Amino acid sequence: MAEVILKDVCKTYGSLHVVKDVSLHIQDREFLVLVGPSGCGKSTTLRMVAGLEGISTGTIQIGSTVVNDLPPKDRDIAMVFQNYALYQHMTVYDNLAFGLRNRKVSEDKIKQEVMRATEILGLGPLLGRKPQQLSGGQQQRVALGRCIVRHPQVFLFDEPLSNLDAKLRAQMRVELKRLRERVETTSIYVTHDQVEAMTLGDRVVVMKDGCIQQVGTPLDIYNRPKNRFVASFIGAPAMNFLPVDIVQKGDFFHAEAQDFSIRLPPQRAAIFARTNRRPVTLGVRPEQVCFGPCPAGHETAFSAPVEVTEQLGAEMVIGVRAGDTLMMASRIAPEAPIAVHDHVPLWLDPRGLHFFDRESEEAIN
Amino acid sequence: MSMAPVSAAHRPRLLGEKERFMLLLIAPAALVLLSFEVVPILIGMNASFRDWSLVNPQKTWVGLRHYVEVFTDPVFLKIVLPNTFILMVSSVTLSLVFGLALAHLLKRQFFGRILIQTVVLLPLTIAPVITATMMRWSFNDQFGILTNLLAVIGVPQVGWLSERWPSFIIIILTDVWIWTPWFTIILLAALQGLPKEPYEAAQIDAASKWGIFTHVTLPLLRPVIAVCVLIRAIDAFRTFDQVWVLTGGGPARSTEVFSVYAYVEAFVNLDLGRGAAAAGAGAIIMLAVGLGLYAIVNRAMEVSR
Repeated sequence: MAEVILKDVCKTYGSLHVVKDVSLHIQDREFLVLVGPSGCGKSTTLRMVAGLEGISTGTIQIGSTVVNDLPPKDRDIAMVFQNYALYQHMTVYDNLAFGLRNRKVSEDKIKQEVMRATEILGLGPLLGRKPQQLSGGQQQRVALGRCIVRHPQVFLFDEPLSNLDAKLRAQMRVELKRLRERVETTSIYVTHDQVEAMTLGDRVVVMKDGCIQQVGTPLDIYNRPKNRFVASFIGAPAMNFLPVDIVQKGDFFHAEAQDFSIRLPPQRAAIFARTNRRPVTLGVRPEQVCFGPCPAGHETAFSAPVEVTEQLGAEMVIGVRAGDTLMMASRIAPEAPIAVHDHVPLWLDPRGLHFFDRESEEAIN
Repeated sequence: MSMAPVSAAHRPRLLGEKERFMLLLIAPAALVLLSFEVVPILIGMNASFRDWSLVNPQKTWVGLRHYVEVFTDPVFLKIVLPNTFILMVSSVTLSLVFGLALAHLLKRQFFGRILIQTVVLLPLTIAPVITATMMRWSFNDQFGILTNLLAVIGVPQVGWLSERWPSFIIIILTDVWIWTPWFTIILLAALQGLPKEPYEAAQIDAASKWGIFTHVTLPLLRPVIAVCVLIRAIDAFRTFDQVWVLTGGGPARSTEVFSVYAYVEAFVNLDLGRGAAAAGAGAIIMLAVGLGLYAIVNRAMEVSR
C-alpha cells in the first residue's frame, strides 16, 4: 500500500497531446476514479501509471519511488483489464498463481495466497476450470483474484465492468464495493460510467480532452460542478441547461428566456448585483425541477407546456418547453395528472440553481 | 407451352425460380468438377480393378489383386510409406517452426522490413519444379554451388544426390524452403490480429519473454496453427514435383514417396491398373490420417475458444 503522486504528467503522440499536465495526489488506501468520455485520456493516464505507456514529461511516483523508467513488473502494481485478459489455456488456479510463480514464490505460499483470494471472491468451485468455461462476471472475478494474490501497492482498473451486461454490472459494482472493505489497497479506477464513478470513488477525477476538469468527492462534484462539462457529465438524467438573461426589475433579479421567467432568490442573485445584465446559462438538475405550486418563501415558479412524458413506475419524467430547451423534470409522482400539451405549474429548487458563464462555461459562484 | 400457360403456372413446380437460378449459377463449376475430378476418379477406380496395361487391350477384371500387390509390395511398405510420413512430419514441423520464427521477426517494425518480407515470400511465388531444379543444380556433385561451399567450410564430400539420406534430406529442406513462407504469412497475419491485453497482463505478471511466448502467444495461435498443420500435412502427403525433379525417387527407389510410386507404376511401368490401385491405396491411408488430424484440430479449436 502506498500513495501515488502524478506531477505534471503529459503524453504526446507526435503532435497529438493526449494527456496534458495531469497532477494528482492519491492517498494511501484511497479509491480514486478517473471518469470522462472516450478519448479524454483517462485510460492513457492509468496505463502510464502501469508502465504500459511511456511518460512524455512529468513524473509518476508510487510510494517513495519515481517509477518513470521502471518496467510494469517492477512497479508493484496489479491491473484488471476490460476484457479480462486471462490466460486461456490455464486453469483458474494457474491463472492466479502465474504472477507468483514468475516471481519465484514457493508453491506452499502460492497455495495459501490463492486460497485466500478464492475465499474472498468465492471462486472455490471454479479453481479447476478454464476461463472459457466461465461467465463474464466470473472471469472478471478471476482477474480480480490475480491482483489480490500479489498484495501489490496499487490496484489499477481499466473499465473492468464495461464488458458485462447491465444487470451483472450492477451486481459486480456491489461486489467491488464489498471487496474494498476486505482488501484496502490504493486503487485507481477508470470508467466512462458516471454511476460507477459516483458509487465507487472516495474521490472522482473528471477528465476531458486530456485535462483534469475537477477533482473532488462524488457529492462535491455532483453539487458543486466547476463547469458546464462536469455538470452535464455527472448525473442522470443529465442537468438541464437554459440560456438566460439576468434582468434587474426593481429590487429583484430575474432569469429570463423566451416564454420563461423566474425570480431569483436574493441570496443567489447577489452574485449578479455587480453587473445587472450578463449572458449566462442556467443549469438545474431534473430532480430539482418540481411539479406543483411553488411553496411559500420560494420565488422560482413558472409554468410550461408538456412535450413528452415518460412513465417509469416509481416516478414520472416529463419534458417541458422552456425557451429553446426541452427541460426535463424527474421525481414526479407516477399518478400525477399530466398529459402532453398540458400547461403545468413548476418551480425550481433554489438550492439546485447553477449558473455558468456562457462563453467560458465556468461556474459562476 | 403456349397452349396452356395458365395451367402450367398453377402446377406446383419441382424447383422454385430461386432454386433454378442457383442451380444455373453453380452449373459451370459443377460441370468442370464432374468432368475433371469425378469422372477421372471413377475411371481410375475402375482401372484399379482391371489388368489395364497398354499391352493388354482386354482390360481383364482382376478384382482386388492390384490392391493386395500394392499392400504386400516390400518397396511400398518398407520404403515408400516410411519416406512419405518422414517427409510429411519433418517438412510440416520444420516449416512451422521456421515460419513462426520469421513471423515473429517480421512482426516488429525495423528498417528494411518490407524488403525482407518480400524476399522471404519469394519461394512461394516460384513453381516447385523450378525450385527443385535449382536445388538439384546447387547440389550437383561437380558443379553445384552448395556442394562446393559446403566443401570449403569443411563438410565432408558426399554424393548429395546419389545416396539415400543425403538426397532425402535435400528433398525435405527443399520442401521446407518452399513452404516456410506460407506458414510465415498466415502466422504473421494471425500474430498481428492477437489482442494486446493478455500480453500486458503477462508483462505485469513478470513473465519472461519465453514465458510470454509459451503462455500467451502459442495458446492464442493454436487454432491457426492447427488448421495450417492440417492443410499442409494432407498436402505434404501428396508431394510429387520436388521428389521427381530432385531424385526421381532414386537412387534405387530409396527416396520414393507415395505419389512418385503411383506415377512410376502407372506411367513408367505403364501398368495403369497397378498405378491406379496405388493411388487408391494412398487415398485410403490419407483419408484415415486426415480424419485423425481433423479430430485433433477440432479438439485444439475447442480448447482455445
